Amino acid sequence: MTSQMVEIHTPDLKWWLAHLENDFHPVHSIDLFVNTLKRRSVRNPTPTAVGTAQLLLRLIAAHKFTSIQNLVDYVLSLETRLSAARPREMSIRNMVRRVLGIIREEAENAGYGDHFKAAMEASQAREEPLAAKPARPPLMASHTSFANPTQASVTSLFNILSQSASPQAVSTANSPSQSGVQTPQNAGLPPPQPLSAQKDIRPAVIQDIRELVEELESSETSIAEYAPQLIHKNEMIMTYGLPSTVHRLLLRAAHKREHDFTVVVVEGSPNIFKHTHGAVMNKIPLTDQDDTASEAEAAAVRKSLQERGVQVIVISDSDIFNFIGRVNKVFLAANYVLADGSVLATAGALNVACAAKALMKPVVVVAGSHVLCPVTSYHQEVLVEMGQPVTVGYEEGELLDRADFPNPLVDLVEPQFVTMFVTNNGIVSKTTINRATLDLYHMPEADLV
Amino acid sequence: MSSKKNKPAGGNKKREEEQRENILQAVVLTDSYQTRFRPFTLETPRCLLPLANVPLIDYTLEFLSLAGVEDVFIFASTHAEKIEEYIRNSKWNKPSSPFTKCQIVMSPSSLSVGDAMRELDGKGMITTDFLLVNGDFVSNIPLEEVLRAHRDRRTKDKNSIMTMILREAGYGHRTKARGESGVFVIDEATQRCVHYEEMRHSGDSKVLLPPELIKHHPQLRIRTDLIDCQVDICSPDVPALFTENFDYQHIRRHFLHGILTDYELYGKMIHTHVLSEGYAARVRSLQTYDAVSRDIISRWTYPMVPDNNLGPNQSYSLERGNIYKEEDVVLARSCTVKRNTILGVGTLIGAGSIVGNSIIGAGCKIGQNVVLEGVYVWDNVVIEDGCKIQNSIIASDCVLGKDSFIGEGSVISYGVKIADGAQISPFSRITANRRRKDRTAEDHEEAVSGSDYEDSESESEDEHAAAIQDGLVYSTHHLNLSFSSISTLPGEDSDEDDMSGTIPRKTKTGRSDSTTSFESVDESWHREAFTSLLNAMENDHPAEVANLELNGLRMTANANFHQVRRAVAAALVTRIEQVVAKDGLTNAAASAKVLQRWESTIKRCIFERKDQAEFLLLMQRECSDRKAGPSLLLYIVQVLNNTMEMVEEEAVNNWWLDVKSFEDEKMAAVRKPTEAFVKWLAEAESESETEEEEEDDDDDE
Repeated sequence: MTSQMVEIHTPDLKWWLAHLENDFHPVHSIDLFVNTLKRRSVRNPTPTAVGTAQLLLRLIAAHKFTSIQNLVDYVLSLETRLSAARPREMSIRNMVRRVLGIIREEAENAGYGDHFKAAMEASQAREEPLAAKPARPPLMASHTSFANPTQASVTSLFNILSQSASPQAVSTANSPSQSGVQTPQNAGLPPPQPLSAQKDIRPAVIQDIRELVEELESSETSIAEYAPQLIHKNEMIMTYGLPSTVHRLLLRAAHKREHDFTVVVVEGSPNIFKHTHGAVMNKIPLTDQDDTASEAEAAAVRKSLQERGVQVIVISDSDIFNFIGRVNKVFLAANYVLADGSVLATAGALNVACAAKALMKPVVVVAGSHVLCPVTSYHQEVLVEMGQPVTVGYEEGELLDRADFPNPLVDLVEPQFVTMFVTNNGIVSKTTINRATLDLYHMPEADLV
Repeated sequence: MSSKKNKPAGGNKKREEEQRENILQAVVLTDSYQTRFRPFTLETPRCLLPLANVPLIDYTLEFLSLAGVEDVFIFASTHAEKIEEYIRNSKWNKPSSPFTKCQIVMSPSSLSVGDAMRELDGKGMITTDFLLVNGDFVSNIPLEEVLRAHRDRRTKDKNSIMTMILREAGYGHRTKARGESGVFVIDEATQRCVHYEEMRHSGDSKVLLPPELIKHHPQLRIRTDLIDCQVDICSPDVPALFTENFDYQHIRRHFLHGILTDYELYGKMIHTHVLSEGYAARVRSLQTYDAVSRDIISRWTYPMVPDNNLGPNQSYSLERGNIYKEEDVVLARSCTVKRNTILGVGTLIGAGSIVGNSIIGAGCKIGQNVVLEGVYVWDNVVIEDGCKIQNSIIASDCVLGKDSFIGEGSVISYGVKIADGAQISPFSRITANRRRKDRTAEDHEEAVSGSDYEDSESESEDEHAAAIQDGLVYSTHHLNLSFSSISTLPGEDSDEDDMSGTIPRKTKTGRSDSTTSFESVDESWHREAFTSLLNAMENDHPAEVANLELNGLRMTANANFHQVRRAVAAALVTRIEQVVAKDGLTNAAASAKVLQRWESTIKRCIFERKDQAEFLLLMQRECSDRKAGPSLLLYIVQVLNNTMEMVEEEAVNNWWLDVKSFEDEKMAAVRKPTEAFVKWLAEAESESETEEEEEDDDDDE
């Protein structure tokens, strides 16, 4: 009996993209992605954004275009399903928003701007009765500042979200009274124009989504381009862990400058210290997308920080205050940036931010544009995902019986701790981050508190 | 099983290409071949019991899909149709399933892991290495690295047939199944498991290691701190070896032990992969059910936690203090939901009620001033006002009347209705499912519409109570080492031969003194041998087969002949009773029939006169526990001595004079009727002696 050797691959983004490439199905792939998200096989903002965008690209290509109304409805229905899978992974919703923005733009280009508006408002009108359903009063005090009645596109999306499967979802729901304001307006809408007249705008949309995906994939490199403006001679930089965005930025800075700065890396225990150690040893690939094509290039560029003459100091989390006095700047990588400028970052980042604030050190938040969310929530609990306990080993049976070991995966760093943002679209001060965010999603105006 | 080596290099490369195509397959054994979850498992297969409101098997399948397995064989035996129906309608069978193939293999005749493996081999479904897991396995470990290590070993040496995946855990870990722990002797350099011994917790458990181990392996690590989930990466050789050794039932006790002891014979090597990260546990008893539930609540199993909503249409969200709530949960203003609680969809909790450390299923109605602490309530249960429940499991569709009290460690099966004000004593097991034998009055019967569950034909009154002590009361530390007893010998429970499951303990231990009742290795061996023999007898196997099996058992556990005799005696007496009951034969006829039928078995355990006496003593002891014992004993002795001439007169005499045979009342009582026979025998003997002497004299003449 000969026995063949067998393989196994833990599903991840690569696996998902391969699935899309080979076995895409307009219905089943959605379910599969939903389950993949739930299982956390694809996680973290960037991979999720890429996975979602690629899925949307194929779904829209496979969708039969009848009218803009229809297309918008379809995208919105996808949004509901996908973000219900993981309400906390906001890049899913961001991607849908971007795609809607693209549709809007293309509709306007084709002269159907009104159709798009009408479609959004119609879908909002449909959602309204549901949203206003006098269920039990909401349990949580999450608010949105996007209560602008004229802004149909935004509110409509939000209403969907407020009905997402979980009441604890990162909800951006309007309060009932605000929804009430909008209803009368919808009554006066002109009926949508005959559908047959509409030209298929999908080719243009698909082209734009492709560009979006490219933008996503190159976002880290684009951010790194700003390194010379951010890091100066003889500076001492503190980072929380060494996430790939920051790592790339530092590498870039070391490349340009004459090896003259110091990096203080906070280990980030318990969740990311292994990653940090790996990154310090230059053993972690910088992005998930490092394919064979760019590998050679990457390898050429990839001289470690140390090889480029940067002094690297690794400290434990408890030493942050000890070192912060000597530091010139703090770099944090954002998981998400909310509309008010607050940042969701790896748990522990708030410690660094607090220390920096105490000693008036500037905090630079590095964020790809796909993590900029046009929403706000003041309810921390719904934003923070809890992971498995890590501070204690599972083998310590007796200890486990005596206590709980919660492990929040992210911190909410409030805007007061942040000095500025670096996105792939430029360096943005925290006062204008909301503007930058809205521009991304083609939202004409915003009323931010 | 032969392995071809030294293939041409070109072919090798091509083979490598092929290898890339092969994704690891998994075989899920849904049946535990145990009865630990009775009475629930009378109605539902174990793998469909809800764990944190999700059927157990979903955790296993989630684990497989998380790890990237694409091909799954689900092996179903008991309640196979229910499992099939469930899988057919689940997400695993949809086109969007992460598995490309999810096949159900119905095998109602399998009674053990061994049978399942033999069937697997017989059907030839598996041609590559595969992952063997149980349908009650909860884990989030990535398999990539484990498989890589396994593959490397396989490419080096084809004889590395299996890799056991073990998780480190300290001694006395809550998720470790109590009562069974393997001693793994692992070669430090190669991670090869060189010896395995099953150890039972008892006062002074000792394990004998063969001294030659140390000669061959310079560095050995002897470990008992491992959680053994019986998750193995097996090569196709493994099922084949099961076929070769048809008496292997248990994958660890028989297969592993056998292959390791007979290394010279088979030359196969089994390795271990000890994980120090990730979660791995099996829900194999009520105690581990509780432990794994708590692990899920405290998120060790992440990403398999309630608020990830892996089940269909779930909508859990997490609140501070590990409180998971689904949609439409209605809580009265004055009720208290304490830490570590899961509330299923549509659950209603009335005013003044306190719920903590509990899991409540979907659609439950909980009245006012109810206290639930450490309770697992499944779906659609109604708990009326003023109930107090502790550390118990309430299955679906139960109705608990007003002010009823349910003592800790109780298990209430499907659809039981409990009257108002009923007091259920601790460690009760109640089911609405009537067994073949109706129970006589029980102290709280009138209050309960379901009947009190009794474990098969066991005689002891209090053991159904004791049986659960392994269960939910783990937290009380003094009970830590108590064992489930399905204690005296069960009748015809066919799904019961995996002995690791039904850990017996000495019979007749009350419900309070569980700490004193330790079970010895002998006891478990006895039980195992007994079951296997009785099984053979019931199914009328040829005696040779039964003998072979018994011998195999004896060799694997290194049991002595005293134990063998004891098992044989027990099995024979039980069998005689069965025959009397079933075929309506008289005690005499049945004794003769059974004893003669199994003559060779008896012969193989009796060698000297001393053994014969001992055998009789064991028979007597067995009979002393039975109603018809006294008369049975008489006939047995008669048949053995007279008809079959297996036991010499002198042996009978020795037995009769042995102090042990009349040391207590019971023993004395049971041998009463035999007295006449022995006397007659003694007389006959002296007569014959004189005759012989006379004959001798004649000869001389």
